[in-house]
Amino acid sequence: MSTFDLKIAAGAKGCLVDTSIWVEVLRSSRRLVDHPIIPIVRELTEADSIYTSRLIIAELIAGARNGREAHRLEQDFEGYRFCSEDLGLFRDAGYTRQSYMRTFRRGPAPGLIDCYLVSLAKRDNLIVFSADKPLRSMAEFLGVKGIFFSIQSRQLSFVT
Amino acid sequence: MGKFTTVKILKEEAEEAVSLTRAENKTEAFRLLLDEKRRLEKRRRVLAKAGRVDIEYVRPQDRGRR
Repeated sequence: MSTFDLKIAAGAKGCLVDTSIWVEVLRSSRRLVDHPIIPIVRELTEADSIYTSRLIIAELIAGARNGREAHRLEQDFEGYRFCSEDLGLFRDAGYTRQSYMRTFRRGPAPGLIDCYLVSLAKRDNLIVFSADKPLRSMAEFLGVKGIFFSIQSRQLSFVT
Repeated sequence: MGKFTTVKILKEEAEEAVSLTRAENKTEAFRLLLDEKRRLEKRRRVLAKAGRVDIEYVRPQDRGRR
């Protein structure tokens, strides 16, 4: 299944690419040729289907090694589409996490950032693309479709 | 104060720009097209950075669980 097939199947308007994917793309030493996520990011970029969040940009800035690199990343990511975000999403994230914790009492709960991003994807009818296991758990919990990359096995999987 | 540049554009191109962007006038149409050009250039720069940026994944609650 291609990313486009998935997007169409999900009836989604685009794809929210998570910080975990951007970090993997930006620092991958196996660039361009054989890294499985880079062709997907390229395909989604060419289709202008990538959406991002101010929170994702904040995480990229925080993870940069110096201020100059952080500033460049911030500038360049302005080229992607931004979701409209408001404080109500933090409330949604809180309730979502609370609901998840009541459903799955054992095991680690996804963090609030995972809950926030999946709530955003659900509200804006986006699929998610992530390499983050807790975010995947939350996406499955809320019925948000997506593409997931396992860093250990280097395998892609689709949640449809 | 910002810099101003004057450029000459063919009438047909200007009309095409208005038609493409559905702008109210030619100036607005070219402003929109230039904004879009800058946006595409920024996205291209992100992809050009692939494999070149030493960056840490900082979502704290996920350390060691990815």
